[in-house]
Amino acid sequence: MLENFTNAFELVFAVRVLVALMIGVLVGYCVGAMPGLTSSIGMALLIPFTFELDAISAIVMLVAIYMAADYAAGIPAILVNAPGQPAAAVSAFDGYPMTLRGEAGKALNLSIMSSATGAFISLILLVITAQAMARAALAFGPAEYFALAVLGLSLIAVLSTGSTLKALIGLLFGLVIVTVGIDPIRGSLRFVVTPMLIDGIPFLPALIGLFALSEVFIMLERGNERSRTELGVMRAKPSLSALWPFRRTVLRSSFIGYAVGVIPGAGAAIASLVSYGFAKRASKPADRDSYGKGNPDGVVASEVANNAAVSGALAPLLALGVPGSASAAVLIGGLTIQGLQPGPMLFVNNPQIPYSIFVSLLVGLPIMTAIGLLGVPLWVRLTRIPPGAIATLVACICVLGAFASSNNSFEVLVTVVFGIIGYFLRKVDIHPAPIVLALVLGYMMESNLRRAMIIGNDNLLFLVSRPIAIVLLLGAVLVIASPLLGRLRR
Amino acid sequence: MNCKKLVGAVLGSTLLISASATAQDWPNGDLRFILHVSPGGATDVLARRLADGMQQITGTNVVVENQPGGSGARQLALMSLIEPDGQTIGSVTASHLGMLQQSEEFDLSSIEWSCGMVLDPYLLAVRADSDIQSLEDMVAKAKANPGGLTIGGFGEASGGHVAWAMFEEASGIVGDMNWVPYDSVGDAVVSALGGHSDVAIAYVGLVKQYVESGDMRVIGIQSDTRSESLPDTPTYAEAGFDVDTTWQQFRGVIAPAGTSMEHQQALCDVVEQTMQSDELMQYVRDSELTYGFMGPEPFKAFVEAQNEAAIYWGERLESIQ
Repeated sequence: MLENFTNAFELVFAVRVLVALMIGVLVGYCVGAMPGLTSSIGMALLIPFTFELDAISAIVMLVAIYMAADYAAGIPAILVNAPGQPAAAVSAFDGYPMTLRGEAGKALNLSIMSSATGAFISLILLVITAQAMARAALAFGPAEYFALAVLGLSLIAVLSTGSTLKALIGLLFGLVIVTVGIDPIRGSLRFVVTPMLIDGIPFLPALIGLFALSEVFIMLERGNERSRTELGVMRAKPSLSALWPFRRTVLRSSFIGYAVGVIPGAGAAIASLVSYGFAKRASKPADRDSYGKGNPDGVVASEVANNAAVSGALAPLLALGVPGSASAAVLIGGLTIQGLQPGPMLFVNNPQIPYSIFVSLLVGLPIMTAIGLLGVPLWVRLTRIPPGAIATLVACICVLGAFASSNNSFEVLVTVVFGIIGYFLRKVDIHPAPIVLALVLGYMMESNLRRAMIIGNDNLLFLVSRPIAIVLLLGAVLVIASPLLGRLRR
Repeated sequence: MNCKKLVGAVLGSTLLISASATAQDWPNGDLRFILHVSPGGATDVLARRLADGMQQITGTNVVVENQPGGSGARQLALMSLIEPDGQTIGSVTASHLGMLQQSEEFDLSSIEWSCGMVLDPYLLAVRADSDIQSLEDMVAKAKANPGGLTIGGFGEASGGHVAWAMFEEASGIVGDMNWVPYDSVGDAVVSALGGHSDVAIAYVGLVKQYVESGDMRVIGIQSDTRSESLPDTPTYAEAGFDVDTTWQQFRGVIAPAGTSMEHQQALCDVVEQTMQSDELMQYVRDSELTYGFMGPEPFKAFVEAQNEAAIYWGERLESIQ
């Protein structure tokens, strides 16, 4: 292994590879910070350019986009409530309230430090456990995925602030939305009023509408009241010690992010939600109400986990050739173009590829952190723009981002409709968290329940005949029951 | 009203004239290549390779656009709105046929089937430690314990599902194994690797590495000849099962309905030239695909035959459930 690492260092420290790394980081940064453009779109855009590159440069560039996009997605989420990628929606829960409170600089610095630390810890986990974890992830079949989705949905008991009834309404609303589209098992069409809806309501445009566009309406309502950003915050020196008070969340979220990332199809958004739920549960009861209202711990939990999930998704990709996410699928495409087949033979036939990826992530992390921190003062200045102007700007970004996500004006319509829905939901005090939870997990829950039913010949007991599924379902019961028990004790 | 018609007719005829006159000058500006898959999969990569090669030959940009959704229904919905001036093309695979069958809006004539590129035979794979040793063994076990075995594949009424229906029929185990539809063929292979499906129906390129690493075995391939990469795997016929081997996954290029034959021919010439370049031939070999270029007429005939089979077997599948 050591020999592989030294070889990989030599390979990565070539000028052309470092240039590819920088290009990847910059493209990823831009793509991630633009709501609507995801890392998979950015990577797909650059794939034709990799035809002429050597294998190492090509892979390093694609991996750099993947990682940089994931961490940059938190920036618009924190600044204007517009998540750059689905996972960053969770960062907006607390990041945006911090911005409203005038702490944009603090929130951004924290999110960058958290991203870097989460990515670093999970990278180490990846190097040590990639092979073993990827094999373990194979144990996830339909019953296990269903149980995982149920555990995820049970987090609503923790995620909701205030009324449980309203959280349930949000959850049901989200679940209703995911039923639109083609039935995952029989292929029949459900509520498909236009062919554009065949694959369901597009997730990203809906998210942009729910979070960002609805916020624009609220901004307009608030009028021209200046934001309270103090210039002092802008100059606040970022340092790793700022993360120290959150060390327990950082560690916990790194492990959660990595583990969820390893499970193919689970991905960064679920990692963030689960990590956020557990951070809130682990906090002191007196602090719990501050989550969703600008608790920095919430930003840390989300950012650490979604970046840790990136390395996690690389484990099944490198060790088994199984893509853990849409971006990982594009990465596999990039590898096959180079004549390389990610999978069990990659470590045997081309060990330089996985090790170069490890090393490039190690080298890329400080570069990304530096770019991120240098950008903070500039980003914070955005909050000094008068609300009227910023509302216009964000509205433009929403529409542009929705269009760019698939080059289609239908997505813009979805964003506008969800912006209006989001506005009214806020008016009646329904938090977007349960809706996101349902949107992320609904499809996984339904399709895998029905697959499990086919395998088990329509016997529900099949779900509890598998150990991992039992553990996850029991976890869900505990998560739901514990606040109730707490209330009973009082 | 009459005036409008006249203008339309004049405009139409000028368009016709200009279309035939400029066929040699094709392409006339950037080409738009609409894919029905999301970025990253095998179909996407092949299409992007093709776009790159076509760009070098024609000297114009080929802009690739991903419009996934409903096995190509979303792509078709978009392409039907586009003027058929030869500047827009799309990707196509066998899964379009299942979609056309279910669709009330589109049928075979909703697009021009311009050219075929590659073929890919179906095969049946099991985990290395599975107690299913051969096709015969699988059939015997399925008959002995109906509903006890599962077969994982892509979707419902998909190319792979039809291929399975053909095998079921030929081996007399119709409905004895549970068909579990996954979101992609890759997911189905993973489910077999994890032991969640007893058998997976897939392609050579998707299982070869797992066979090499000792994680999987391939028990039969729906082809006339054995695969060079899997020399130990018998064909269905060798194992004693008579299954139609012309039913294979195909990938090709389509154009909006009404695109002129001249444009399609010019397009296919470029596609054929690109496919025969060293880079693409190498890619086709590496991906374990079978080169199978077909021009507009042979491809259309091929697709019509495939479609008949898809309809026949699609109805059979419907009646089984």
